[in-house]
Amino acid sequence: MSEKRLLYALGQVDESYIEEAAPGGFPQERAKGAGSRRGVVIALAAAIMVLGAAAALAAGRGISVLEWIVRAQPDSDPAYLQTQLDNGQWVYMDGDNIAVIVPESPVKILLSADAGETWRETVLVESKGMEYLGEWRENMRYHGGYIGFNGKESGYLVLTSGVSMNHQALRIFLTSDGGETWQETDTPYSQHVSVLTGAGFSSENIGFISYRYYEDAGPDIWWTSDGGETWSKLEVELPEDMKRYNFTPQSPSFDGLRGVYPIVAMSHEPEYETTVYLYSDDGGLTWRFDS
Amino acid sequence: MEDLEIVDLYWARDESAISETARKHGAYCRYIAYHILWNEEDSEECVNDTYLSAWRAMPDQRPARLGPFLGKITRNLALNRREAYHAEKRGHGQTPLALDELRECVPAPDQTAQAVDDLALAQLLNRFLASLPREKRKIFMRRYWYLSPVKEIAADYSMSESKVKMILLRARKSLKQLLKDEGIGL
Repeated sequence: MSEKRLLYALGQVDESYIEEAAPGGFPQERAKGAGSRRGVVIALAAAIMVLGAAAALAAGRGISVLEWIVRAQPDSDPAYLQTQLDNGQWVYMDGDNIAVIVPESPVKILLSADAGETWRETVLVESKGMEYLGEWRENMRYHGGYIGFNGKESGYLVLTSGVSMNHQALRIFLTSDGGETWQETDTPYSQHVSVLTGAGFSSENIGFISYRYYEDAGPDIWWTSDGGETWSKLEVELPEDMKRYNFTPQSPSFDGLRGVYPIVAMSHEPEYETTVYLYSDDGGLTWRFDS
Repeated sequence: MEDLEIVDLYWARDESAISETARKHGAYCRYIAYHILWNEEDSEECVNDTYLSAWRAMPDQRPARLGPFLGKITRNLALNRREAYHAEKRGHGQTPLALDELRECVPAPDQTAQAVDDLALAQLLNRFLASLPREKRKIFMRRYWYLSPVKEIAADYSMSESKVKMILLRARKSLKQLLKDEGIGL
């Protein structure tokens, strides 16, 4: 087959082309009563999925959230930004409360408590620079961000760089005054480097960073229980019959102590994609898979 | 450890060359193997075979770029392993998809088409890659050298999937035209 010959011939091209395109670094137990709460947590998961779509409609200051971001980053691909919004990036909505990340340098956070009627603004002066590929870079342009609140005062903000060689830098900020001020905390970056696919905190202490599968099937999740001071890999037990799937965790979502962690499962033969869910009843300290 | 130092270890027949290679380039090789074989155990075996092949190849070879040198070995081993699986009817799905796309690059058979050897074909592909703008070349290589899924490429380059597909479609058309212009049959 000639296309096969082409595939093998490509293997012999100049090594500089191979190097520049390199994606990698040269580098359950079902708890009692869980079923009765399943509807609640599935609704919570569904809320995440529609969040992006709703955000596009959440006009404030006369323009949509997408337009805010495009204005901040005019050279971005709007279709890609829309995909990010659909995946719950850049914006958080809970009832009348809305928070939007405007990826200027420094980053601006817009907050509304009345469904977008009025807005207040905070500027993260510290967000101007970022350590990226081993060096400090001023006027960093952030390519993604996750924001959310658990309660009125406590919230989190995760800012991400662009992706290079399966490498994505991140910064995490926490607030305890409803977004008025933000304090930076540590990330898993010094221990683990990959491409982020989600983030979320259930409290000021417990938080999760999701990464794309890379070397193995995943799911690749890192978590903290001390407000970001230390991070470790979350051990997740998924069903035996999903051995041939690859798992990409998304952003977890919490309603008090109840949490749901959506994980996209993809098989390659047959080509098939579905979403499975982990559930927690203790704010993310423990998770279980529920079929 | 620098790549040149690792190569020196191979030349000195020092077995720590393998562990240093695994530390520095293991993840990269696993990525390549995994995206062809889509199986953790098979990928791990393939990466171990890569280290063995590197041990046999150095000396005499002294690669200037150790990463791509290992990557090429891994890719070949993984593709060969995949071929064997297909012969045993236990293949996976990703590579056939990329093959379907590459089929579009192949000009229709023509009496004037000349058969070329692998080296000449690789040289033509180098010329084709050199003609592409850098970002488009990287996307082309990610898809057809690394066999990365379009979704993953789109995320890495902050693009929509449809934009990545469009770039790949145009690149395939350009390659087909070049093969046709050169009268090369495959």
